[in-house]
Amino acid sequence: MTALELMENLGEVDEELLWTALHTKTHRRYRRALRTALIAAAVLVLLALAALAASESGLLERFFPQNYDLISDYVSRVEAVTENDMLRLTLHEAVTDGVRTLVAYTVERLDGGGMAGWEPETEITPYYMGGRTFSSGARSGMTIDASETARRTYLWCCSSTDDTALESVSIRLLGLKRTAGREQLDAGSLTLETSLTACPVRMAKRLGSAADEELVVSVRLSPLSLRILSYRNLAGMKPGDVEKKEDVRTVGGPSDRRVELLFRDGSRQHVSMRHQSTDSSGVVVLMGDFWDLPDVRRVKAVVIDGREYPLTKETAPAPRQGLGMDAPFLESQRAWLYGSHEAAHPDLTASGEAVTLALDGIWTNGYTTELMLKIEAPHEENDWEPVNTGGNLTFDARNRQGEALAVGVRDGGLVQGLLSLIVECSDQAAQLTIGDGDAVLVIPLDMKKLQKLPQIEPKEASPRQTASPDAGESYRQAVYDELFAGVTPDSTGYSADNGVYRLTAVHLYLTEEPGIVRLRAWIEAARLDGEPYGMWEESRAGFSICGLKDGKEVVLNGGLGHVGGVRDGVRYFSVREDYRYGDFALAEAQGAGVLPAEGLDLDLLDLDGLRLTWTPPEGGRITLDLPMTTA
Amino acid sequence: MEDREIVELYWQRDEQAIEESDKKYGGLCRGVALRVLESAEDSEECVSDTWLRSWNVIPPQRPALLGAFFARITRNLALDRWRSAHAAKRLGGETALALEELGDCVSGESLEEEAARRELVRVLNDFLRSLPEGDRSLFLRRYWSVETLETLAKQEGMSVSALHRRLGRLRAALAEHLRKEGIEP
Repeated sequence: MTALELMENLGEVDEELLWTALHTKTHRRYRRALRTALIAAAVLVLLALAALAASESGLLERFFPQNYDLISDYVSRVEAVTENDMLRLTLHEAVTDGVRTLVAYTVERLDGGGMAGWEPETEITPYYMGGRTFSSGARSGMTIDASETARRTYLWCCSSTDDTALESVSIRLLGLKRTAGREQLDAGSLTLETSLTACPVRMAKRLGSAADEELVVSVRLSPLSLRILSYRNLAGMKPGDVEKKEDVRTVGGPSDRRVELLFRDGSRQHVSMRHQSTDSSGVVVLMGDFWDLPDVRRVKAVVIDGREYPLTKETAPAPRQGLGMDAPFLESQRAWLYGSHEAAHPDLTASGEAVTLALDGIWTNGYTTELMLKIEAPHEENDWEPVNTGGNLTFDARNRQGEALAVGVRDGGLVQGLLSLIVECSDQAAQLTIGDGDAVLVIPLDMKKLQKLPQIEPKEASPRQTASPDAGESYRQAVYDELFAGVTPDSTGYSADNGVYRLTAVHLYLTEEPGIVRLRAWIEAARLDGEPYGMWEESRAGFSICGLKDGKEVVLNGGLGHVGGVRDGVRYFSVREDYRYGDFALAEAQGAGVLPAEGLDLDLLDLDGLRLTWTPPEGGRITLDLPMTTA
Repeated sequence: MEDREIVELYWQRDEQAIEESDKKYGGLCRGVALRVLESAEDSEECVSDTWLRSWNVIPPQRPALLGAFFARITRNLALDRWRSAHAAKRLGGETALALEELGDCVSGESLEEEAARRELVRVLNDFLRSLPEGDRSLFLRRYWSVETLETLAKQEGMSVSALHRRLGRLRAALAEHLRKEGIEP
């Protein structure tokens, strides 16, 4: 038996065993987090219990008896109530600094039962930038008042991995579950939401040199939390030389770090840090939560293992920083970081005997540089696949004085054959040198200079992010807007009707990976006569896609997947098609208008367009022709 | 909406079933797929495929634990996708690590008969039932859910190396169990 077979068959084990294990995890995490949090805040909880008055307003003040005024201006005081026959939910207060968020709420039973032995089943979701959510980060909760029999008040705490400009938080109460055991009381869904105004943060200057082991890219301090983001310094080292998996376990952990706040009067405050996350590039996030709120205006520097990182002025939290995934978010982040979301495409190529490096696109402010790189090895058999994924590259960054800087690299992965890299430097760099064997690419890190160099048309269909006016609507839509090439629907999309249905291509994009081309589309079929839509499965069967070349249809070989349903009164199709590169078949029995098979040598981007057709169950085919342009 | 109501929607061939499934279990399934594939885009497709496959098998099936039912479909789809991508040498990550660890328990020769697969599932169920609840949960979270060692260590309140050792003992117990049951030589 192979390990993969063992893992696959593990997927077939008894569902009850599986479900119990997953639930055990939830309870265990909750209990452990609760225990830890209670130990950390035991004195404060006791104070809070003692001081708890009839009204729940000012709950957070009781948790932060010292220096509460430092955050009071940023606490959202809500006192909103919603209830059904079984439960009443009250949202009292919420506060955030963009990384750490706290929400105080009360659950009360209205069915005559008590809360002893029960805990609320809640979903608490912070939102940023027009309704997006994040899933990473540590979450925990604690009971504030356990004395009441029919009602309990809770404080929920969440720490995000990324620096996030949060806009709101919602709480959804689904019911109650036993603190031990699997019994649940389903209460439908009660939801409340409040907007958030994040308290200001202070950032530290970057420091360090090429000789350092690590590069601290971000130190972010607020009265609620301290977040430290550190990279492995790769100056003079290949990423492939670094055992990243070992890094994850041995480097960057908080146990061997000494972190302090250094105040202007010379006093110091130790900060207990915890390991929050390590990503696949070895980027480590450490977090410290404050219950005794520091006056960050009086802090001169954050001291990490004896090195002082001086703080800058107060600022609002940044737009979410991290590897973003959807177009509007990326645009806003790049505009914030680099002054514009437009990339430069300078004609910079370095060719060696075995390897060619070519820059396809770049954004930079000297400290942070994002680039799309094409790595080719002409003599490799698999020339469609890059010779590596950056593991053999070396990085050298220099400031204006020619001094070597510390360099951290985050691998964004392969996107349409291009290697996406984010390079961080310990100071403002004037030049970045990237090498791979005998090919060395020297890049000036100045956007104005880069834009003045002769520009290229990106060699590959590099990702062209186009914001959609509706992109903030949902996670799914954001994913579908992620990459966009070839087809450009206007704000109303491509549309056609047969008198009964109107078919509209709302979102379309093509992605190209080595050996495969993928088309994804969001198609809506609005019924014009107000009649019901009928069965989805039948509708789905009537949907097809083919290519267009010289006015003739080309059948595309590849997988076919349609998912959909009715949303907001409109039938929708989420279309996913994967085509093998340049391998299209002749249509069978499609009659005239079909291209001959022999000698057919096309790739998808050579087509004139795509034809989406839908035949509703009632008949009356609708055709949408989508012109293909690679400009 | 309660699980039985969602299942009833599937039986009535009501498309609302998919929306309700996504609303209630979409997050769970995305998490399962994301841990295996480490790609939001691929995970989203896996989840979409999960609803499609569920639509095709309910009816006749009437799952008792709907969340586990969906999660299992998602995981199988994600592993399929991971395997085909892995064949093209384009993926590694946590799934590859977990597989490497499971390699301790097995000979590496492929199972060919369906009967052997069914027997393996029975033996795995027996093995999991024999474990204390905490160990069972840990084993499944690592090798079913592909949670990272760092995440598990943090949740268990132990160091990564201690967790490594604990998982190693569990894998050794599984290897012994597989040998006793005649699944592995």
